[in-house]
Amino acid sequence: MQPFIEFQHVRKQHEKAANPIIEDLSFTVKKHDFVTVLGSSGSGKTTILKMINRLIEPTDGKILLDGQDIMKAEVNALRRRIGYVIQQIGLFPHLTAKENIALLPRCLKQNKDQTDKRVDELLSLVQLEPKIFRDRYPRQLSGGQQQRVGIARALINHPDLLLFDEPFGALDVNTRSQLQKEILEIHRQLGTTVLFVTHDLQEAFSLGDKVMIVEKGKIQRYDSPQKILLDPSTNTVGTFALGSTVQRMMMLKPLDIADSFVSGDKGPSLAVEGITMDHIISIFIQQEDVSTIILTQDGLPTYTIRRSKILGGEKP
Amino acid sequence: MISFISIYYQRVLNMLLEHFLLVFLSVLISFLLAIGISALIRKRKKITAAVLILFIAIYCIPSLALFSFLIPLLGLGKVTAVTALILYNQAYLIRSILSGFDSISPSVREISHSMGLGRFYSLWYVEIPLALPLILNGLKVATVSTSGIAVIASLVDAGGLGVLLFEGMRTHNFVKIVWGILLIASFTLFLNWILGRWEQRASENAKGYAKKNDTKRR
Repeated sequence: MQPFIEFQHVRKQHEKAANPIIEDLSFTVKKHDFVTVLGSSGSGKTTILKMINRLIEPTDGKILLDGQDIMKAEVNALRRRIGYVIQQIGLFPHLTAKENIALLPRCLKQNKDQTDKRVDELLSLVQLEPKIFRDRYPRQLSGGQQQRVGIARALINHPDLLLFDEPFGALDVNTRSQLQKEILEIHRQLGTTVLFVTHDLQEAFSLGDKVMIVEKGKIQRYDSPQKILLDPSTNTVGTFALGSTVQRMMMLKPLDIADSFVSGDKGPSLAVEGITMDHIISIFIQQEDVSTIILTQDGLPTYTIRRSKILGGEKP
Repeated sequence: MISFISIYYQRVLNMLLEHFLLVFLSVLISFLLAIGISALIRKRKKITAAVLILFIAIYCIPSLALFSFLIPLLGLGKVTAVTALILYNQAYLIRSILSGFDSISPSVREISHSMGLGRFYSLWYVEIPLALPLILNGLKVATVSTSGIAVIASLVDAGGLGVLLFEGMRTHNFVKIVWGILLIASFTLFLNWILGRWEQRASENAKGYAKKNDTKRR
């Protein structure tokens, strides 16, 4: 299948800078994938994102979106099919939530009634009651609510690509994890391709179908969270410390490390729904004689999780 | 006092109208010119600094000196007066237009670019409404100062309320002087009030206080 985004030997260097921000970068993203780009500040991760909607233009190389060279597209037409959400949110303070979301259709002279309907749909999608929030100004919204409006605004023109630049970086922990869940749900419902930049390890691994670890303008690793985290040789990627085995397991979902059940497996059983990695790990740590946990689905044993996988082979 | 105005009200009214036209025309042309200059120099920092220094230097020339410098070129009359007033206004107007646009937060600007609105709509719906309070503040100050300097412009035959004042001074007519001062001051204060209200509205709008939908939360 043709990749949805393709970087071909992309380089970005500012005129006066000694070193390029991005050095010979090539990668592809499949349609409908949720890719997180993980890097510390100055790694070039935001530059990668901004090159896709041409807020920054590459010095060398080619970027293809859906097979088309983005430098050959009309810049505004390109940007209208890409939703963009940033940490500072950038809501227009003089416009209500509805006006913020509907600004693009208004400029494109689209049907007003349809736009109004779509605005309400989007507000509901981001868990804001349209009746209450439609006519509020940004100053009347909390940080989390503002970011929800920001996400709804990015979705207005049915984009086939969403770019997130550390969207939840400024939010408190509870709001952030709530929004993380919602963004996954939105991705599941709409199937939009997502590129999500973050410096937060946990966020990168819990959200992404694939994680791209970037450092000094180069890709250090680009793989699924399972492959990266279950690989014992990757305690660090570049200078990024991924932590101990247990810490890495904590970033996975139980099913990522489960094997299918074979008769003969013994151990305490847990239901598949509602179990968390914390739960599983705390059982292994507290009860030293447990070597296997059986996950049940509808009362039937379906998967097993072995102690050796999580605690790194301390017990067979 | 009252008898003076009842006899001369027709003439005084003409002067007031003349004064208004002088101020209105000068401010209008100044504003359009300042917008053009700002648009041209905005992206270039060094040129911006140079242009601002030039106009500030012009602003420092006393009005009588500038008028007498312009008379050999443009002669006596309204053209000279309006030209001088336009030159004076540039320093303040250009600075307020530039700082208006500079006051827009970079993230708002970035988002409005990223949406693909296009240059015109991005200006019309986002940047101008947000820059307007500072621009109107500059316009207010420029208008008030124009109204003041326009009084002196009557010395170069430009007409206006200054005629009344200077006539009074030449002929030691106390009543004329007082009327001149009263009219000039109240007219200028009126302009200040009108433009101040417009600025206030723009500022409320830019901050998201335009609609009174939130009495509870305020």
